[in-house]
Amino acid sequence: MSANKPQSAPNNGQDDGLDDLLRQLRDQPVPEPRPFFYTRVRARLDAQNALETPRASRTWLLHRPTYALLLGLLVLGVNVGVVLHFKQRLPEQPAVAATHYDAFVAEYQLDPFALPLPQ
Amino acid sequence: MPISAADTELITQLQQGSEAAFRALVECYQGRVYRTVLALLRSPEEAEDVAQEVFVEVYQTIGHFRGEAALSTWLYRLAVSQALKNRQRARTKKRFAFLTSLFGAHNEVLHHPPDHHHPQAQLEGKEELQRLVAAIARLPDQQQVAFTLRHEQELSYQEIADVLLTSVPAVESLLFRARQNLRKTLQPHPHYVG
Repeated sequence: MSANKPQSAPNNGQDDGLDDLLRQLRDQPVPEPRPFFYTRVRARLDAQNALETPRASRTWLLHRPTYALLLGLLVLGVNVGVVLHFKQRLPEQPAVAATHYDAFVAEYQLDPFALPLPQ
Repeated sequence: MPISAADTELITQLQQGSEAAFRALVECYQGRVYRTVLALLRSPEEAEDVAQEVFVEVYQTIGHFRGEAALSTWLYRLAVSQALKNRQRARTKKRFAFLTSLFGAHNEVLHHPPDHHHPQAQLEGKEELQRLVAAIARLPDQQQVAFTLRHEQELSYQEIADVLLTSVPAVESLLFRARQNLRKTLQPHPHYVG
């Protein structure tokens, strides 16, 4: 990092004052961070690493797509198995009415003998 | 700007996770990073906080550093970027705090006026310098960064161009406009009249 002195733009009367002020500013004592700066940086880094660890475990699957895919397939397989299992055990559904008339009678629980038969 | 052999060695060690190399890096650059951030934020506490964050970022991202710029350029770039981000966050927070204080139920004053006092020298009794520092703080971000790197960190035009990822003529233009703005701001004072 070079430390060549800043060159001013072409001077006029006004810039003399500005350059003088800038020179005064540069001549001020050089500020430094407080002592043990490295120790504080290290502590901050350690604290951040400690926070990062649980997050890293949560995103573990995102970094391993094969495991994520296999887990997805396993969940899907279990779901399909459950659906098929319970489908087989369902009671027999009543036969679907053959005609609209039968469906109407069944739906409203009517006495078919009291109704006129369809033509 | 070409990367030096010493920097190359340091970067290699850092990328291998060497604790000693990281310590050496921090101790070598802490002053420059701190002063750059301080020049932009004007608050020693915030500057310390941001400077620490810069080195944390260096530690975490050194693996991606490809050596296209000098290590110092990269550090200056991180310092400037973190300082500007921090300042933007602070401005947003102040704006929000101001609104909250306007509509708040407790009539608390939650916002604080901007503080342009230069902690570098406390500048007591140096009204002229305080006015200059305040004027620099009011420059647009890019002009302020270029001006600070030039006149407080004493970087060359090429180094500033590398930090800002721009060209040397663009840096010259930024510095020219910065000087014009400073002249305008400082003009009403009797010292600059005439």
